[in-house]
Amino acid sequence: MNPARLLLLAPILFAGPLAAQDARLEARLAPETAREVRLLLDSARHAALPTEPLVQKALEGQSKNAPPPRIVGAVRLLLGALRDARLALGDDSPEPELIAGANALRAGAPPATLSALRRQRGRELTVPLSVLTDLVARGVGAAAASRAVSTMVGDGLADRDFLLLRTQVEQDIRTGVAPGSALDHRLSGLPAAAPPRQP
Amino acid sequence: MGHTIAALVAKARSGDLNAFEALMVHFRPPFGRYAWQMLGSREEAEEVVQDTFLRAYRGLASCREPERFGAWAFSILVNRCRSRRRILSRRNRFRADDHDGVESLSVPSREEDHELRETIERALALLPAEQREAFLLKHVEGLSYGEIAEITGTRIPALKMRVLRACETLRISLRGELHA
Amino acid sequence: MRDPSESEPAPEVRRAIELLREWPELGSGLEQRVLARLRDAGPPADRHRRGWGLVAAISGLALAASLAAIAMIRLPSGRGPQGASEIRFTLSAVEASRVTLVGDFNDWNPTRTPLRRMSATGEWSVTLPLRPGRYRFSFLLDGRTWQSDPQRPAALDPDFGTPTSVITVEHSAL
Repeated sequence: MNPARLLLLAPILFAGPLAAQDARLEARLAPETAREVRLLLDSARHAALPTEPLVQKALEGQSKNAPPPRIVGAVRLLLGALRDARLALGDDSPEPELIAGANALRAGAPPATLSALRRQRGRELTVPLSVLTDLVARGVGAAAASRAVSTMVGDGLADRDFLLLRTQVEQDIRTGVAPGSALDHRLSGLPAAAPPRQP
Repeated sequence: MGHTIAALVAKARSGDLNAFEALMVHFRPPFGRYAWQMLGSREEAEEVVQDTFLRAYRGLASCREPERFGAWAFSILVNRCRSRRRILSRRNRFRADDHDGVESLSVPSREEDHELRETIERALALLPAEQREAFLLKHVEGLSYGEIAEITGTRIPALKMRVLRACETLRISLRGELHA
Repeated sequence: MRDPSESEPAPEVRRAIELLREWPELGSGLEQRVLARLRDAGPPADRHRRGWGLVAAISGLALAASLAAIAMIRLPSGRGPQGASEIRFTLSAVEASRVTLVGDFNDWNPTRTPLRRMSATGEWSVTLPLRPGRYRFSFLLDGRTWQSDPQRPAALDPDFGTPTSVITVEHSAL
């Protein structure tokens, strides 16, 4: 049989990336949940927003046995964050940057911070925004993390400097330094002093 | 993916290996799944899927509907799996029943072992190859009977019977083993 | 009369179908092995002139062996072609009988990426090729207990409230 003569094959699985995403949702989510998530994916597509993070969020919820309303709610919140990130970072913001921006917003960074970063740096902000999110995840306040990242972007530091900062702050926190203090000291270029050991 | 399948195929045709890589990344999961389940071995599946991608790249000029690249390449995969099964069956002892002679499908190595997968693999191994093929194409890959008929060259009534028999055999062998 | 071939399969079979759809993936090294062979030749038009004979002449085992050798040559430093890095995940879990890695890189599939028990002291390990990017993940112990990676930064999980970690795989230095 000549494969080239095949005409209407496997539209669900093979029509393209959209169908591939649906197949994962259909396989893992309850039908009604999959339907609601698909509607959100459609909204994302119409707005030219990335859909893969939304699919991953739904799959994450399913793997953690979250109730369907919570799964749909999480996807909806992330979609909202992607929209807000697009507003703050601009229409030309590439997908990795948009996703990093959405994560930063959900971590508590104000939209104004993202807009300010955009004004300060024309090139991609994916790494600074990811580091901001990770600092907050380690216990640094969102406002402090936002200020730190803004300062570093304003100073024209490279992506590797942000990654180094994150690594150093993480190391300090593991030795017992309070997250905010660790950030302050690393920003000033000085290693943070660990608290005295308990007797 | 920022490009359509058709656009990637067009780029790959002109020698853009990055575009072809993107196609492979996209189709490796369903191709790998089908090949692994059909052949019962991850190693055999890797070999067949690699072979499929190589043939697909070399035959891109004959893919007349680039937007259906996936289906076109999948038909290559199904045929490669059939060829591989024939080679495997010649290597193994032939059983005097209606199976195709693939007596012992290799089981996953220890580090990949998982109880449920093992159970299902054992159940799939009980199916004659043509029933396994029809069942996987219908219920796992989600193709219609018309589509399966195009790929396999088998008439629809025969395909439906194979799927029914496969489901019945699986129902019996999985009874009590899986919780719905 | 209803076509019996369109009836819903029995519950056990439906469950098997569900699990079959979530089957583990083949490794991404597969693409690299194919690309390695394709780079030796020209664009498809050139290959077409050589015909299918080139591919047909290579037995399955020989092909796998040669491509595996190429893959091994490229990977010992931990970096594959096209920027994928071999990332090792380890966890000490003496009491667990099963540990899997679950995250953005495997569709949060709770069974797709099992770790291997390396020693009687309860160390578990798996190595994955990951492209540059940021991935959230967790370990799942015995199919029910989520655990973050003590060796990697914590990640937020405001949506589902489980221990989660993040790994950032960087681009290789230019």
